[in-house]
Amino acid sequence: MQQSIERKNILMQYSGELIRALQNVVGERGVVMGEAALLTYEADGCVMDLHAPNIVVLPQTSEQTAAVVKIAHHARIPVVARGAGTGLSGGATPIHGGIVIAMTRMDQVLEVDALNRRVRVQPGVINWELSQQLAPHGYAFMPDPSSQKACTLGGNIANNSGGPHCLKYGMTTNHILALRTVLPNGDLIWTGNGRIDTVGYDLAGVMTGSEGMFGIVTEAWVRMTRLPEALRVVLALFPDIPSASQTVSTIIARGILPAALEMMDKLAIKAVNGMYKLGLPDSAGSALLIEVDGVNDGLDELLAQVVSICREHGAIEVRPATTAAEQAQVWAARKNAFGAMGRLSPSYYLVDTVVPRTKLPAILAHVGDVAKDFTLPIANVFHAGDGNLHPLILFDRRDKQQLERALGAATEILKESVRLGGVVSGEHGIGVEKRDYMDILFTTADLAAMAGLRKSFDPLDLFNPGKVFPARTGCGELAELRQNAIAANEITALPSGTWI
Amino acid sequence: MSDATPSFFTDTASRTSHTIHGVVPERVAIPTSQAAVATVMHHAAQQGWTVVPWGGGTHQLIGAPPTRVDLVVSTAALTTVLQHEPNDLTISVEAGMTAGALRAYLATHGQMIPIDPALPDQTTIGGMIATAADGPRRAQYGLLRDMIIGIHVVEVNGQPSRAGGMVVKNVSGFDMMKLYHGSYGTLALITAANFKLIPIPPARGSVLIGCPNLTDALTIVDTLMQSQLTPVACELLDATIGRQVGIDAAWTVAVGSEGPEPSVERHIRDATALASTIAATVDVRRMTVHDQLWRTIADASAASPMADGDVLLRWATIPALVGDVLARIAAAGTRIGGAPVIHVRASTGCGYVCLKGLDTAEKDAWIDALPEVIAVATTDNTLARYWHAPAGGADVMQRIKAEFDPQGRLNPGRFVV
Repeated sequence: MQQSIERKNILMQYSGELIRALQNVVGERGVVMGEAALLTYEADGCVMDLHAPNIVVLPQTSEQTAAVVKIAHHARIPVVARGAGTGLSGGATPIHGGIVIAMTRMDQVLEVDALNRRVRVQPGVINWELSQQLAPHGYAFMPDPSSQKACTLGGNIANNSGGPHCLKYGMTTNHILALRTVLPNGDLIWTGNGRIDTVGYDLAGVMTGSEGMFGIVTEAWVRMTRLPEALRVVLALFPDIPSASQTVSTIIARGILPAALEMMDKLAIKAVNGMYKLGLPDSAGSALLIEVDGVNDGLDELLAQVVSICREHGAIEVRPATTAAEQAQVWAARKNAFGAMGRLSPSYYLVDTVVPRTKLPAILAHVGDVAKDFTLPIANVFHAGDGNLHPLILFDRRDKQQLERALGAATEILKESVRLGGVVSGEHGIGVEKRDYMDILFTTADLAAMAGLRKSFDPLDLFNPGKVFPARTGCGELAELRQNAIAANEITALPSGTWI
Repeated sequence: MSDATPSFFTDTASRTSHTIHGVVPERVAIPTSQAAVATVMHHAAQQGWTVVPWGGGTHQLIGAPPTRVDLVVSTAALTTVLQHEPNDLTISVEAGMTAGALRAYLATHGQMIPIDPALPDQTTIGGMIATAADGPRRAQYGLLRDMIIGIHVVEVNGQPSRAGGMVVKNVSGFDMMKLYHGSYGTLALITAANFKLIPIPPARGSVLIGCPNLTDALTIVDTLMQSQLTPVACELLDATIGRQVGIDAAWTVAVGSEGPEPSVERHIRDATALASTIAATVDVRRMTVHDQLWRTIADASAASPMADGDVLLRWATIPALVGDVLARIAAAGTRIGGAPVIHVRASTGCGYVCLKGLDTAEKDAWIDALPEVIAVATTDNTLARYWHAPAGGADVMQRIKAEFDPQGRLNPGRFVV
């Protein structure tokens, strides 16, 4: 009710003129205002904090996007960019209302430049579809989030998305060459011309992962990577979690860099086993999915080394996936593991955190304790090679008490992760979900520097306001604190942390 | 934070040894801890001093002369490994540690940061980050920007701040590492950085393909790039640099491979076969000889020391236009002079040109002739310009500078921003 009144006020404030101006830019069909339609934009994949936008605009060109932002800037209305809405941290949720600019109509692959190993795309291109289009040329876009069949490149860039193959090939940021971006004042810029080295500050570098708070990407030059000549996939089953985590540590410490190194625990195995008919034994306490790739020469030796490390640490079974169909099957099981949780529980809360790789056994033991303490089952499906954990806390959303326990369990896991030298997000972003965890990781001074960078792009705090920075001390407040200190040539008495 | 006045060196020797483009600083500070850097920077802020950060000094000839240098802050005494987790493959080191010292330290653990800057025994970690220094093995391993996982800086008012962490994957907060990387000391003073490491590959080998002409050399590079081989380096060397690595040919394609032995041998085999399609010579280097080869090639891009007529131009394009840039370099060599010495990181589309015996007007003409130039190193402090304008976003860059250094006291006048 409160929300509805608030929306009416803004619409009254700007109504007719604003709407007409937006319709002039994108046409009547490009402006969405119906209450029911707006509700579909009230959240992304994170459904903890819901808030519908006042208006949704669907531009079809960079110029239209810039014109829409200029109108919003003139009217001082918040703007939130949105791709497919698969984000898991509330990055696309318009928590202060305003205009959501949905980029889904800008979904073209504009130029495949094989000679220079790069491709020019619009932000609404779906991650999976890009790689499908590049495959006939012998290339792929390497970052491959689990949501890759739905998520967009624009969203990947905003969140610096990861995925299983980031272990070897790096996160999204390692694959971005230049961004065409609408800045919060409506200026449309290219950060570079698509070559690797540039003159001046690395704007594409800082924009990637800035969660829509620096600009809206309307076009991008991204790298495409030559598909490997060969790959080998193996599924190793272990009696328990510690033996599998120890295997991961040993593989990394011995200098082997697999293309992917993924872990599933007993509960996750149970969920995917039935769905994908993997026929995994009930006795398996954990499973590792390991892929090595490169030129064909030496790959079998490398795989043999990996298998021997698995056996050294007590693997009960090692199954090579030799045919392409078998490989696709185990990968489908891994990538759709989150969906398979529906077989076990009506809802889950997916926690994203990273620890130093040798701390995996410790953090997983802690996750086990948390499950007991909060009496909620927790499944683990994650990027073990990176130390990137994804505990899935299973609960029933309709039960308010269970929801609270799920949130409490997540907090416990994140705190322990930071205590072990980890961080609060590895690949899903901070958004609104994790913003209040930022100050367990960073000092006020650390956050103030980030706020200063944000202010350089968006002095009016219009692009995706309320994200990343703790709700208690928002971006504007931090930036002002810092600016005053610098103007006075003084340092503020800011607490120092233990972070290295 | 101590309020005591930090100590400064004002003697002639200390000052002149930190001269930049003929500008002698008023004083030099060599703080011995990150906290001491903060104290120095806070003092400088209160005095309104301009500050030039100084690592090994190997990149100080890049960019325009400073407008004023009240204080040089040297990181020479910040040489500690703060934290090394061998089994996590991560390290945190102070900014003044040299690349060579870090390389030697990591080698005792069988690990490395796969970047090869020129003059590694003088070049510091902080200097490499600030100047976005690159090396030949970027073809496979990427740039320093891809390896930094955390950073510690002292801001213009003396405030220490940090970003990132000691994990290999992290989106907790904005990527400040990318902001400071390549910012040439204009936003903050880098005091330490965290990196991800990789184990030194068990096998390493290179093939040097001596080509009779540029067309053949470029064909070999193109064929390699379109193949599924994964060379760690793919460098195009002119005759002068070819001779430095023992090859007598008009152009040399140097291909390096690192990894499991069968994979490296496959690269050597395929590159050798490729050479046989043209009238090329082949020379194979393995293990420590391979390592030495790439260090020699890395040193070819040293931006110091230089004679008055010397210029080093760093340029960047897209790989397909390398041949076009080389043609224009040849034309400029004929028209302007300077006896260009060229090496190209061919698969990544960037390279270096060393020029000799040029006067100021000739240097200006070279920079005008090559819009691809992204950095100029010279002792000449009277050039018309030292930077080409950024491809885009100049206004945002100015706003970032104004936000981080509103009084313009950090490295004033030196960078494009």
